[in-house]
Amino acid sequence: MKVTNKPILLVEDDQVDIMTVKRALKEIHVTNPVVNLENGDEALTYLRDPNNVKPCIILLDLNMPIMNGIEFLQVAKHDAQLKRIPVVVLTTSAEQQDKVNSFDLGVAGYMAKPVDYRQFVEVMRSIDAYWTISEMP
Amino acid sequence: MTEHLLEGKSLEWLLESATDAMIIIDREGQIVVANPTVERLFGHPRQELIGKPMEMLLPERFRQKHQFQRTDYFVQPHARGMGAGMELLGLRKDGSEFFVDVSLSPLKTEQGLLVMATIHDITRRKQAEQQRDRLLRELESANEELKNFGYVVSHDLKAPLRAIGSLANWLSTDYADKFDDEGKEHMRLLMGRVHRMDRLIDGILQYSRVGRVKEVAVAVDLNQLVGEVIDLLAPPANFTVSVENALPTVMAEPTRLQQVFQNLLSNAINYMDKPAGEIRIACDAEGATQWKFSITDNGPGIDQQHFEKIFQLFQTLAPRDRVESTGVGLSLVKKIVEMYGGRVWLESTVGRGSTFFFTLPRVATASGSTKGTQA
Repeated sequence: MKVTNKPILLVEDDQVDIMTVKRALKEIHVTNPVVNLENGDEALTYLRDPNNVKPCIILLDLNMPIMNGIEFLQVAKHDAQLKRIPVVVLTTSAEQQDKVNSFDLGVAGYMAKPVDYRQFVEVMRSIDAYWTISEMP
Repeated sequence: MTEHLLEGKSLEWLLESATDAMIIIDREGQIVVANPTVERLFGHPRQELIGKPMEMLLPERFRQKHQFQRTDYFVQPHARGMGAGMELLGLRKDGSEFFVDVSLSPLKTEQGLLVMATIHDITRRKQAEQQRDRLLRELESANEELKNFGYVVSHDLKAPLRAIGSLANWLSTDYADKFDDEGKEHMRLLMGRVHRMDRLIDGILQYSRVGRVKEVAVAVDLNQLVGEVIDLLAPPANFTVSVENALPTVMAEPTRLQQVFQNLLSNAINYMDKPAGEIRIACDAEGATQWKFSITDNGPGIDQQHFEKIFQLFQTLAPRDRVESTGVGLSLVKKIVEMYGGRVWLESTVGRGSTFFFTLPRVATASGSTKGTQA
């Protein structure tokens, strides 16, 4: 990541998936702190709390209880304070409709979680590489 | 003048002989004539009917409205069916109700205008209709459930499977020095099975997506599409893949046609047992309305007894440890081809090779544009 002091917000409810992301980030030496929240609703509360540092990127699961990823995007992408934070969807779903909805709501990327952990590491490596090069407002 | 066939027969005779229930009413709505079938149908003896308002043959709740409609009818009488599109009910003497179909005919007589009503008992037809509607609803909901089932199951099975895969990977990495050779082999097999199940789930997803997820049908130039599929499969150097004649352009969803060719061609490649693999693709007109495609290989061939079975979901002819296959490919091909109104079959000689054929309509209707065509 370009900025190393800002947190990565991981919106994900599956414990092993959380471990997977954290482990993969560690493996590729991404040192940003990871803030994990279990659903969209908690993520919005966190993002709107002025005491919290805004994350440099949001890694978003789609299938979550209470407020799912698409519902989260519907709110976050219409919020002037939040809409420029890049959101990368990390999901099990390979459904075309989920992809269409996500991109309609302005996501920066859409990654299907691979079943193979090594491939997962490569996915995280690509995300890191991109957001290390890309300029941000 | 020749004598009419029914010369000398009275209206009464005609009514007595009719198998339909017939009543004749006057301007006041009173029953003037009722034939024997009316007695049987409604359970009233005739003497109870004559001179009574015909509304007695209707359930109470319809009587008032009917009186108005009857009065209207006498103003502008014409032969017609009654209550088109409405459900009409008759009332028996014992209080039970039954579905009827009624047609009305005005009769001009010296005593003034009368109206004849012919009444059919349509209880059976109604029951059959209701039965059919119920079955149709059940079928629709079962179909809907099945469509969602494939998706939900696949989706929700993937998450835990991924966890198993990750945890197994970490165990074998983090504790590499703790595993002996047998332990390492077991971990390898465990992860292999995770990948196999992952492919099976992907197969179910793909299969359930056909017909459920619609793409826009566009004109697909099959020369181009088949070329792309061949490039994608990148057959090994010992293969010759030839397209024997120019392929047509058809209206369809490109992804689906790609799946058809990809599965048939990759089977031909993956199961090849000869040092020089030959695959030939051809297309001919089949009758006036269809194209017939063929994909011929010089592979091991398939015994005729398996011709049906190989198109079923998850059926494979080689042990999965030898040729890694989900057994989804050909069932997917079948589902797609049939969705477009075509069919798929094969000819094969064991040891010599196989030819898979499938047809597509020349003017392909957009996939599943009518609900009924979806399997």
